[in-house]
Amino acid sequence: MNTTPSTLFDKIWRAHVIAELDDDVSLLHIDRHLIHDLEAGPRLDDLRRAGYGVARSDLTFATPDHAVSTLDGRTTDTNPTGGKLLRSMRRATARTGIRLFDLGSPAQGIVHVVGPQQGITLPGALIVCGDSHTCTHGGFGAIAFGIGSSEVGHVLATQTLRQRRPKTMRLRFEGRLGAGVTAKDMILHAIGRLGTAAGRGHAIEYAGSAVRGLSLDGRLTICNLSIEMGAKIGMIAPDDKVYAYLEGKPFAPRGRLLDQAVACWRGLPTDDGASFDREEWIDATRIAPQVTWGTSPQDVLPIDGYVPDPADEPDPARRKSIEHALDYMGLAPRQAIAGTPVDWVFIGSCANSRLSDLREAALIARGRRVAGGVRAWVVPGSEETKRLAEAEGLHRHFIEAGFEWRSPGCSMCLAANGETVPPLQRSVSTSNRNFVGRQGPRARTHLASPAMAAAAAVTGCLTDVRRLPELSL
Amino acid sequence: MKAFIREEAVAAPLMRTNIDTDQIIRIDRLIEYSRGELGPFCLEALRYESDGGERADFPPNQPRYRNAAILVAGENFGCGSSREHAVWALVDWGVRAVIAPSFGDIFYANSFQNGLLPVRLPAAEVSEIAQELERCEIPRIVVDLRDCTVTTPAGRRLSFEIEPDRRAGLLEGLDDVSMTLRHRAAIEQFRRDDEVAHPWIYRQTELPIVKKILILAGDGIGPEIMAQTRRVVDWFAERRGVPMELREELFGISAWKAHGNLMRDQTWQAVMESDAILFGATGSPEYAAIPPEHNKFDQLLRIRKELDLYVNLRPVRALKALAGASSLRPEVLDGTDMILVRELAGGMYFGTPRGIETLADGQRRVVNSMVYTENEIARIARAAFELARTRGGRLCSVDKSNVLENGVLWRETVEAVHKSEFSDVELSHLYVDNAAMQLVRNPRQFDVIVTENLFGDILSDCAAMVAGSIGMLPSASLGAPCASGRKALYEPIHGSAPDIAGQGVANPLGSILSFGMCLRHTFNLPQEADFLDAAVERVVDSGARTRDLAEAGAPFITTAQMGDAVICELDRAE
Repeated sequence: MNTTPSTLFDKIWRAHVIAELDDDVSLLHIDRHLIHDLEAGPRLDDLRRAGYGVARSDLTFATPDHAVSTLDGRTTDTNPTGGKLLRSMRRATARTGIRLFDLGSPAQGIVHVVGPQQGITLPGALIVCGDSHTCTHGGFGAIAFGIGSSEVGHVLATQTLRQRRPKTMRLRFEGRLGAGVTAKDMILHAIGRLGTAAGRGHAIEYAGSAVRGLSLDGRLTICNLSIEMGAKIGMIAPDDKVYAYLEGKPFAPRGRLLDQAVACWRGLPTDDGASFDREEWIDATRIAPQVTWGTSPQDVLPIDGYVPDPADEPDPARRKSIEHALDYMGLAPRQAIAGTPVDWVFIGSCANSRLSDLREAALIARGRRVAGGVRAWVVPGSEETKRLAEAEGLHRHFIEAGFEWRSPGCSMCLAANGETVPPLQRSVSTSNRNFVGRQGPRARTHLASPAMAAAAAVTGCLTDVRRLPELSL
Repeated sequence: MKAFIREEAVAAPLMRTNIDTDQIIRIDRLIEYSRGELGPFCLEALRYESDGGERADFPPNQPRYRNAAILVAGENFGCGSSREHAVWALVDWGVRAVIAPSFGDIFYANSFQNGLLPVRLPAAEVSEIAQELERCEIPRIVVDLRDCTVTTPAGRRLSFEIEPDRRAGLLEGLDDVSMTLRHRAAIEQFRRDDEVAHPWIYRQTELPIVKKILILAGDGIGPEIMAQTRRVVDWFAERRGVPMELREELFGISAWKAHGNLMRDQTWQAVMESDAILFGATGSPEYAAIPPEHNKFDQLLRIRKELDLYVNLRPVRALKALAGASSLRPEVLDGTDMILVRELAGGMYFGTPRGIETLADGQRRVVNSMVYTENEIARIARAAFELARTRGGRLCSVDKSNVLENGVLWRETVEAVHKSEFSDVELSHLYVDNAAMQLVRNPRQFDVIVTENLFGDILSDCAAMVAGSIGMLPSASLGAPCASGRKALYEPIHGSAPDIAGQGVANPLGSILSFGMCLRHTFNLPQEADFLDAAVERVVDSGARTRDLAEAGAPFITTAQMGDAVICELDRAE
């Protein structure tokens, strides 16, 4: 029994150490391995060639998301390259007994939406996936992080991973959020303040009154962008909202086993007096709806802000970066970011494609029309989310407003399935990366919340969503 | 992977910060091209103009820095996506080391798996090196992992820090998996303890998912082959921890003799409760002696009907070692690997009206009906399409639609299911007479075949001759998918062979391989099933032959000895 006050991270890490190897490297047991269509076939085939079998297919879950088409009624070959990957995924998972939520299955979707929704993601668990946004699952109080292809193979073969223990950081958001300000804005604001390297080498725990007040979807959104701050791991302490949500979910524990689990989970939150290697604090009351202007998530502004002037930047390397970004994004120094005309709006991705995200966007779309010349897509994060959204009639608000209502997949977040923003066109996206070429060669991406994206769609430009009710319809 | 010891090479400055992995390799490139082909696409947005020409402002394009094997970059190199393809792209392009003040965490870890050395040096040093590269006559750097030093173009020696385990792995070019598996014992112990401490990670309810398996040995050679199968079942339960509740009941003549009832209530209850039945064989001349009122039903057909086992799977694979035992030429058989999916609950065997009547003129007239509803056709088609998806992706539907309306509805329905749900599977159609010919002419052409009950019965036995002996062939009969999985019955395709019963000469491999199908379809443990199949194949390859497999006059082993051979091979291979 450890009597020193411990953090959420410490408690979960300790419980998963199989052995301490030389030089600060721990051998960790992996509770949940999620695998998607870019990795499944290739890694399982590599494994077979190397002569290894899958160590624990029962702890492995697969779903295609990156390369599938999101066109309604899509089939295996709607995106031909995706079709090849999907076929190899089917054969490899069938061969090894790994559960596959295949295209057409009611559980299929973006892997980081499916995990929590299906009760696969559990508090206190150690979860990995060959995708950097695996940090999302930390929103349920798990340690979750992205791994590379070789590590995927290692987990498949041994159900373990060698890891160096990261440092810990606590990032508190205190105070009440303003109207129109969401979890997405909170985390974008934080990345803007602290930079894309702040979390490097750290596991971040998000805390504070503004975090406690978030919905579960909001917690997942915040954790999702941890990697954009450099942190592989982002977590929020689990609470009764999480335990209540998990009840009845397909892969969550049931009956007495659930009671036993909850009793254990209640001991997970960070103890009073536990220390972190770094502490940061953000006043949540001062956060405005955010939008990125540049080619890094840290290039972010409040919607009523102004594009920076490289001349104001003293550091030469940073100045050059700003110049490149402005040139790529087609923006002028000191211009107001609001009012910038847009061509595309994408509401989707593992950052913001859950039911509450769709509700927030639908509220803005309802009774309005997508502006002339703008193409707007809504891509629900999973078949289950799509089903629930349709049960509430959300899709009708979108369709009547002129949005395209599509099927689940990563889609335009990273354009792995051919769904791209054309060169030099400007998009507002609820995803998590605005890198050069992310949404397509020479595509220009502005990251924002679902409500802000919907506002941009109906006005045709970057718009302060808080002002929308005042605008004439 | 290639070890890294010392590299002396031209280095190119790339003094931008936050070079992310999307810039290093685009997503569409890593999907379309394999590892080894990514070199041309590394950093392409920085390297090429939109017309494909080289950008002059990208240092590695300049004559001075061409073919640089070392990059010197700004902070946070490799941030963003976890794609290990970014490392592969750099390696494919010829880069062996990157020097920067800092790296994205995931990229840093990925580098060590691929022989790429990420060197961290303070920002001021990195800037200084970049400037030396521009000023010095030859922009060459030496990176030595043995003493962890970088020798700059001007000849200055700098030390860098690196985690000892990373350094050791890279110096030796070691594979992480084999290093970890040295800790196998600790890993097993941890898992045992963790299943007690955190059981909800391993299951969803307090009850472990244990499959109920019922053994019905049956008549004739059933008991002696099932005794060997039982040994294999026990082996997997004990040695591989396959969780099951095993139960055995008498079936057939032995049930009649022991209980005075061909199917007593207790046995029927066991049948209905089981997740899977391992069945031996049915058939005996002694049935004739049973009073008709106690033998009104064929109990096996009754089991299939009650459990609605409508999917019958008959895999047929040509084993090289047994090529001589088949009546077909080895070059025709070679490479055959197919599954026949036979509809088992409807069609000609169950359709009504049926029966023999006496006509007014004293003649007798007999009718049997081949009956299907659209739903019955659709569900067997679905099962076959799903199976095809996990194999070669090809399904051949067999009917007699040029003559029978049954075939017309069959073909239409299969086409409809294909179009709406399985358009990724390649579908073809054959008339049953042609199918019979094709099976004998070129069995290799088939992946999965689906067909009606009677047709399937006939074609299965035809296909069986590919394998050389019916003693080798397993089968599975599955019911409708439900929460706890499909109900199933597994049995070898051969009959009870009363003429050789009790002599100890029967081949148990068909029954053992049926348990292999049980591991695959009931337990969802395809790796265990493959393990058993491979062991059986090695036993046959080694020359073990029961009488049915042995060439005329050649020596053969008993049923029990064949069982010994399989258990031995499983022990050896574990």
